[in-house]
Amino acid sequence: MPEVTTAHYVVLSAVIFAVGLFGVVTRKNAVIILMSLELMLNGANLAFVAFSRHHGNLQGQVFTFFVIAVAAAEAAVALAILIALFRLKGSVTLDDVTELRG
Amino acid sequence: MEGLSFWVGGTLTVTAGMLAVTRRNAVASVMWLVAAFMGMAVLFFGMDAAFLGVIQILVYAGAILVLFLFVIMLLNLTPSALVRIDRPRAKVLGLASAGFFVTMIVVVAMGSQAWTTGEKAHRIGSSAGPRASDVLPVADQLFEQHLLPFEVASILLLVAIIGAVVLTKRKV
Amino acid sequence: MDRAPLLAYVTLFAPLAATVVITLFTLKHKALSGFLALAGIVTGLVCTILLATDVFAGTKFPPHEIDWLSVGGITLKFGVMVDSLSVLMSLVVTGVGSCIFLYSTGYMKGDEGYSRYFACLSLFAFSMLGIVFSTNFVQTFIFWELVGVSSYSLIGFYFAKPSAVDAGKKAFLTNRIGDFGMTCGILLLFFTLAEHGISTSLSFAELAPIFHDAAKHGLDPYSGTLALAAFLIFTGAMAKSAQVPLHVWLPDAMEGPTPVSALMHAATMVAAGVYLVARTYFLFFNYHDALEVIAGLGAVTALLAACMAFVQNDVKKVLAYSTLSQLGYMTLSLGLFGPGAAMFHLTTHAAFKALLFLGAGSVIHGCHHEQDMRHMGGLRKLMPVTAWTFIIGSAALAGIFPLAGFWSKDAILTTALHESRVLFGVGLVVAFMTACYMGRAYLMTFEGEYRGHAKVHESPATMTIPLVVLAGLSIVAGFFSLPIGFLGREHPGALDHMIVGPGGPAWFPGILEDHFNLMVAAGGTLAAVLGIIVAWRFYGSRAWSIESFTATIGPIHRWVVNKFYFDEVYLWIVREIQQRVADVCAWFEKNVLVQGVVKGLSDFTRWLGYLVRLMLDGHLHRYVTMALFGIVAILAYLGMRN
Repeated sequence: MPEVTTAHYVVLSAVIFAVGLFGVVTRKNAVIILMSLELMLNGANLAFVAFSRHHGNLQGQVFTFFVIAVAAAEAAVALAILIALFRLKGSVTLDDVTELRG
Repeated sequence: MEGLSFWVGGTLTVTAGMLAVTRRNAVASVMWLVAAFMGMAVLFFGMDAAFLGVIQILVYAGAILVLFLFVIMLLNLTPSALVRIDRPRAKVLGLASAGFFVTMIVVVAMGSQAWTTGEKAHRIGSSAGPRASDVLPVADQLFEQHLLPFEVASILLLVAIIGAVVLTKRKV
Repeated sequence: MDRAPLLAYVTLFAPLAATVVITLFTLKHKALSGFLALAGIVTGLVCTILLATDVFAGTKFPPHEIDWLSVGGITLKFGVMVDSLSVLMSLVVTGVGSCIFLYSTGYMKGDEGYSRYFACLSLFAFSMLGIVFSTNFVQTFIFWELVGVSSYSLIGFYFAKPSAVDAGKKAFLTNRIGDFGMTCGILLLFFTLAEHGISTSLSFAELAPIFHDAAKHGLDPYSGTLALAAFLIFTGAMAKSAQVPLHVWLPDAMEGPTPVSALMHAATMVAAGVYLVARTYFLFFNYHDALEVIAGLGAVTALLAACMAFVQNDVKKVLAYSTLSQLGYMTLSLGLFGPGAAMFHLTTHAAFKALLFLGAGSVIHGCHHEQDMRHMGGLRKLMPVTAWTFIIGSAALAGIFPLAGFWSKDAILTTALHESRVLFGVGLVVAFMTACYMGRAYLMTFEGEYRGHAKVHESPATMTIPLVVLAGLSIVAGFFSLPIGFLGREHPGALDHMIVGPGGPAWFPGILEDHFNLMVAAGGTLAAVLGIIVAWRFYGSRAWSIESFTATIGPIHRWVVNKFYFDEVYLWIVREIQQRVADVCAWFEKNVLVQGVVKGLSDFTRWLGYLVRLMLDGHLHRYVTMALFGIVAILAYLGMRN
């Protein structure tokens, strides 16, 4: 097995990010999109930790910690919005929500 | 050891993530996402970031995804309700962009000499200083250097809780 | 703050306070408004007198400045300069001003805009004092413009009268030309100095030493650029002090109320140009070419205006042209290294010209707003106080010993003789003409038979008291030039010292070497007496016929009556050149700028908006995809660069 370097981690984080991105672009269900978003955040987190180790300090880890905190807040609010949306429209499919039309 | 954690965790995360974003059944998606987050935790442990690994399992796999599950059940999203309208164009587009994205990252990452030598990659592990896997230095960072952001984050969470309550209340 | 700058600030801001209070609170209470304005200017007068006791005793005060505005590396300052020059000018403004404010309370009685009048008048006093105490070019320019505005509002005071409105506009526009030149001059000065590595806040106190030792600061003392800057700054003075060819506004400005004419368009405001040049004489001193032009312009103005004064029938117009002529005299002196003499003449002229205007106002008031001298005559018996003070004023203006005009005119003539025989000759001729047309004005108004119809009465005490006070001043103002007086080089408050600015002894050699020349005095007096005799022969004894005389000089008379066609030339320029250019510009704007550029741009924007709207259909996926494309594009760019 070849030695694992920071570059490996960066590529892996990009792959995870891309998987989440794929979900965001293709899915129509808002809940699934939110989950894909969480995956994207995880991809970014991985890169943070990898660089943190690369530079030999803990800043990246601390930042990841804050990302997780913000992700938790985001999930709570986003899901609350989804519930409100569901009450209003009876659906959480994004095709039904086009109020942002310019 | 680290090579092992990288390949195991990486494979698990990517495979489970792919499955999670493509399942019709939302509950199945959540389950696969749990698996993907577990893989992330493995990666964190492998990188001597034990604290983050624990947090990953507790907060992400535990709290956040349980929240998702609750919502899915609350909304009664049966698989029939989740029938996807076929979007071949979107799928192709998404796949193409995601692939391109990864390619570019690979090009950029591999093009940078410093990251590929692996020389620095083990510095923390081999140095005589405190090991990064100790929670102590992380705590020191959080409560000494970054105390204000830490407190702000807690206020953010409080605001999020209140916001969620207000948003979901039927009548104010 | 020290006592001196404090007094100066009080002098400066007391009239402004009056303006503000009148405008905001007392527009309805006429008597109170008049009292407030009077209180403001008298406060200024008292403070100035207190200052004068220090300054003329030889005490020197450094200029007091505060930082007003910092932009980039440039700091603009606001402050007061207390030296003998500014205090002398302030004495003129507040002294003559006080008389005229008092006079106005009587003259304007019963007018609709009584309060407005006093608000404007106080604003003018504030602006004028701002120029007087200014420490730098920027401050001067601000107050310069303020003076223009208040002048405009007072000339057009009777705004229901079209001729008054037109006169106000004319004054304003003519002054614009000068102000534009002045702006260019200040900027040119600033940038030229910056080019030589001298960064200044354009403070007189900073600039004076630089120009004095021009060579030491790397400045070419004979550089054309700086001469041009000096001359451009002078164009500002040229417009305000009504020098040919920017003089056309001053006679029309007589549309304003007579006290306004007295205060602004005779005594103080029009003197601002002379004051400015005297204040910034360090600029001009090195540039003899610029000075020669100035002297020439002054001589031409003095001569032409004196000619035009002969053919006016409106008593105020005679005085207006006389003012022009006297301003030309002062400018002539400025151009001949005699700023001290110019300032001296400015001071005495302020006293007797204000007196003459107020006298004319009294006559107009007494004759129920009749201004044409052909409908007057014999008023001496009906209005004795006005008549006698008018005689004193006229004699002072003509330069009869020992009245004020004699001394100051003598100072200018001495300066002229020292520098140029030709200009000295012009000065003598103008002195003769001055005496002659003033004799004509007096004889037509006060002697002979009364030719009008209205019932004439003497003016009230509020109007005659200022007349008497000013008459007193017209008699004594000249004595300051006697050996103990201003012009003596040894006296610490001497005018020579004022000119060069703060702190220094007379830096510029050659300013007014000798003070009193018996020959000059005799010549000037002879010219004046001759002028009076000629006037008497024509208008008093009627020994000579004015009709046959005008017939003899035919074409010259026609030129003079038509004011040398200045107005016609300007009208032609406006109608034929400016209008054509404006037409072309209007066509270009309408068809190219508006139709093409403006409308084209708006159409393009709207079209683009439609296009974008098509994309933004509210589907979140599209938005995300677009964002994705953006990221991919950025990455592609980064990858390409690697």
